[in-house]
Amino acid sequence: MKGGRSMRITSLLLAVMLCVLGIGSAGIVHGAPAPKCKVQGGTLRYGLVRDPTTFDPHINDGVTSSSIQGNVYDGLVEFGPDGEVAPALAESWMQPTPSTYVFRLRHNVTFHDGTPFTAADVLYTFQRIQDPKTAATRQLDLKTSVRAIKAVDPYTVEIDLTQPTATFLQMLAAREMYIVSKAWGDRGGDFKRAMNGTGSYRLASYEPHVRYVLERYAKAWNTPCIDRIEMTPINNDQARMDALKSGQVDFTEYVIWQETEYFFTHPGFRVYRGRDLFDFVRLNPNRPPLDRPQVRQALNFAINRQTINIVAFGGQGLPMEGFLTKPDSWAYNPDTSKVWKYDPKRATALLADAGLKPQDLHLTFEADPGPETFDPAQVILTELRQLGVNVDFKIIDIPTLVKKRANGDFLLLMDGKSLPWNDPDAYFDFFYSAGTNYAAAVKFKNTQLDQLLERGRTTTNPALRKPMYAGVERILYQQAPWIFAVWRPQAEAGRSFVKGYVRLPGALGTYTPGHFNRLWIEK
Amino acid sequence: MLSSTRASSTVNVPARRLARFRRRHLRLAAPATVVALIAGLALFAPWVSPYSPESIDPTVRFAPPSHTHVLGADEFGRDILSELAFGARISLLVSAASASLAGVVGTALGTIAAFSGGPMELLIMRIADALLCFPPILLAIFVITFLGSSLLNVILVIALLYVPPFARLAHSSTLTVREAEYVTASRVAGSGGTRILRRDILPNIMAPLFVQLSLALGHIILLESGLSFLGLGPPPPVPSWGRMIGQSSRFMSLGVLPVVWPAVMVSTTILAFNLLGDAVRDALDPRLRGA
Amino acid sequence: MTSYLARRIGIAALLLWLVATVIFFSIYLLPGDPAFIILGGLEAHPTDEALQAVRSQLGLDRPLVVQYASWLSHLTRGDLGRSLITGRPVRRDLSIRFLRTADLMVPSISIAAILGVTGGLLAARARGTILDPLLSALPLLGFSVPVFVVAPILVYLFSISLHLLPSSGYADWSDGAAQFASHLVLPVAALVAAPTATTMRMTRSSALEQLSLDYVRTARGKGLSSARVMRRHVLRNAVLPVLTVLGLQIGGMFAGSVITESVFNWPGMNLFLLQAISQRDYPVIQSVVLLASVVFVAVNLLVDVSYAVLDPRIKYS
Repeated sequence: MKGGRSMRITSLLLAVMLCVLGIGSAGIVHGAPAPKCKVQGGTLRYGLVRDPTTFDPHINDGVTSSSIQGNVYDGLVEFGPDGEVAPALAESWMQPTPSTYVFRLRHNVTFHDGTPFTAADVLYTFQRIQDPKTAATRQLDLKTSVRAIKAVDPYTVEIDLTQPTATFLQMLAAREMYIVSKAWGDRGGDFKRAMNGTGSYRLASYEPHVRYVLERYAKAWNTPCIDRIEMTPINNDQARMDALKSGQVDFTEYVIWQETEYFFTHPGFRVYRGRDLFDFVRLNPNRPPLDRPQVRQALNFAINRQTINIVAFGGQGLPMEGFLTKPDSWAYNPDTSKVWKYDPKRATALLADAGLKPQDLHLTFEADPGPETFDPAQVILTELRQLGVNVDFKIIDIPTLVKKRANGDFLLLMDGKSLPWNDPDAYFDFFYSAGTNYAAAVKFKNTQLDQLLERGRTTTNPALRKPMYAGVERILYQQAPWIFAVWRPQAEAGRSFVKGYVRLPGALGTYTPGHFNRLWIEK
Repeated sequence: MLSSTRASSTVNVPARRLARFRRRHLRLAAPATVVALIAGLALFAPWVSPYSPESIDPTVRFAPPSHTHVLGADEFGRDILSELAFGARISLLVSAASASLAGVVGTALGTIAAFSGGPMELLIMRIADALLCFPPILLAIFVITFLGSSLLNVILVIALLYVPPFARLAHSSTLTVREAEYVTASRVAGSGGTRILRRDILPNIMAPLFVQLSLALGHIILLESGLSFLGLGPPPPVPSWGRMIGQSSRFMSLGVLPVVWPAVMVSTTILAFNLLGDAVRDALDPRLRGA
Repeated sequence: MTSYLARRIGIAALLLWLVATVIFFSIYLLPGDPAFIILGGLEAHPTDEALQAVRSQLGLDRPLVVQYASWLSHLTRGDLGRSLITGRPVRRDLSIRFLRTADLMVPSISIAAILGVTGGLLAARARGTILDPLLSALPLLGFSVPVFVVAPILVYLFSISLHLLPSSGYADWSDGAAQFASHLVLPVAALVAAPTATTMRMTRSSALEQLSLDYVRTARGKGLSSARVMRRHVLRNAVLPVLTVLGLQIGGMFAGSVITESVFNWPGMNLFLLQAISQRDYPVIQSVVLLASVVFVAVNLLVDVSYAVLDPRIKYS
């Protein structure tokens, strides 16, 4: 039958075409944004740990980049509740080649000032991030990985990468990659002191040190259930906990470990916990006596991570026996990821290798007074002194800390950080020689390490990547650029009538407050 | 120290005289004893407890008082008694050092100002007044933020804050004494300026200055522990009562004794110094008496 | 009298100008750079050119003397500049924060004055009775126990244990008078102990001094009751030194209020300053320290002048 055969051929051709198009495609055809609200409406009173220092959507301001910017802006993609990359302003995407992405943008999306969202805004965003004057956190990352970006049509963007990049989509979902309005930017919008995004909430009003109010955006593409978020910065930890206990706020971030037990045991509250941040001591590998790797290794063996965990975090954290991969990561390798122990004898022996006795060392150790870093710092200080090392401890404030991080002006500097995404490529920002989060500032450079990190980033097959990162960890063990201390417990807590809060897994826990649009209030 | 009792309307009863004597002495002896005890604690700090104030022992966190840890242990498992003893060293050292420094420098400036007169006097006294314009703790916070917090800096800042009162006191006392007859007599007799300063003026302004000094000690301890509480005092591993309170109050829901002990200690010390200062004042200068 | 007043005010103004100048120049000695903070938030690694751009935008790259002159001229016009971090005019935020500190200080001083004077007079009357040692010991405790001991204990008792009062924060008048008051109780209670104690002591000793004077014995001899003597003569004369003491308390209360605002997270002027210091927000730092000094000087001036006015025996040269 002629018609039937031509139909079969057509279907076959169609099928083949679909298959061909399907190859290399990582596109996910999207479903509905958020499930229908069980309960609509209400006001959420939220306790912030501090004021934001900037509203800039392209600068990482720590936790507030999620709790504030995260709710007002959207990226091309975002992290879903399961930690996987999910559609946001990009409805779907394809990879015609391993180093090309084509994003189909969502239609009928407007910014809070009414301007429609189109591909031009995506181009403008990338331009702004790559401009050195913006001082964007991802400036270097974007510049090195993106070769070209163009708007194929008002709702299609094509991005050409310099090479295939394993973590490109995760980078796009990061909290410093929100899409901004070209029209607003051209008009002179002040990105640092005002916000104009496409998110579920708009910034209705704010008074520094007092309150930040987000209101649901009527025309949001991702409609939230809760109408209004009133955020109060409460720096004092105890005060913030008391505010939740007494009902002044319904939900708070940064629940201190001393109080998690309270919220676990008292009815009417829920606690959400993870271990997504870690504490460590930045070492300056170019300043004596730390210019010798044995000395840096010795410091790592001189401290007792169990003690730090118990004393500084009530045992709720996880000692960092290796590097930045935790046992739940696919890249975790027991041979290389579990190397540090408390071994003062070994520490002394390593120092002897370098021709030194502990008493010969004169170290300056700086820390800021925030409890999450100050408490571990005190333990580390005591243990180094117990070894016999002379340590001059200095308390510095945050602006000084920030400056020292950036210009490498320190010998030992206590610090705490989170990983940008659930991928061992996180090592890149810290240890790649041009990495802005550590290496560049102290001029740490290891060519072999650089090569491994580059290859790890540009290889897409996890089976091939895993041994590369094992190699990375071996080098980190030899070089010991930091004292790796402990993964800290991180928790949020709220009244039980606030529902839908599901903490993102792995390193992404602190992204969770960036999605108030997934919550609802059921009283 | 007995001043003659003016018999107002009653007969001198020996019992009453004895009572007054005892009371006067008690007022001085009691706080002096407490201060001596605290000084003893500070002096013998390394032997007061078998533990170093720094040793962190995770197994004894929040331990209640026992035969191993006489006052218990704090949130890091550090021995509280040891911390208090070494903390006493800091508080006494800071107050003695800054009070003495302020006393010496302030007195020197004040007497020089009074003696030189003219523009020099104006300059010195106006700078002293300008320093007094700042609310003291704001000045301290300010200076420590940019000099950094260390034992030396805290002593220097507090001394700086107390120079003006000493300078003013020395200045006015010197002026008063200078007019006194015996100085004029000395001058007439031909004594030189320095001699007058040394022999006639200094001994006579010593009393009010000494009173000022002893009154200042209590306030200085209050200021130092307040700064430590805010995190601006001498940094670890040096223990300090104020910082103990500040840090341990974060853990009050897990244990309140680590706050209570240093709180009692610092309050008692300040009280003792205040009482001592009062008693010294009463003894040395009855004209300045309170009650 | 007027010439005295004029001279005192003149000297005060001169001193304040000196103070302002010292503040201005010394702030630039603070390590750390506001441009860093503005540009990078807490994770800053901005490029030099970005930093330079921000600095010139804020006028921070002009020579120090030029910035000083500009600041002075703005100051004389009442313009305190704009926050480097938020961009908002400092004067507006400062007046709000100042009022919030006043919310703490004014009730504290009033309570200290009332309780202190009454207590002191009672204590003076009680001399020789059984209550005497208690009433003379109590104030000693009051000003020996520091604010940072009293405050956490109050929080522990009334908030953590008994859940009677909020442990921190500020509620606006518009949120309801009850809310406003309940947030005020603990901070004021913490702040009020020391000045009440000092005032009480001073009043007691001053009253006792008066009581032993001749004119009192004469009055009693004439047959006036003790109460009347107290009221008419002793009180008026005893109040003088108390005024001085109250004035001097302001200095101590500043210290107390810094700690109180810290512990209770009270959004007053002191916390404003602490936050500005931690962000290197120069215009705010300058303005707050200047305002604090002005208040300090003004209060001392007021005390001196009232002293001169109330006591005709005092010569003012």
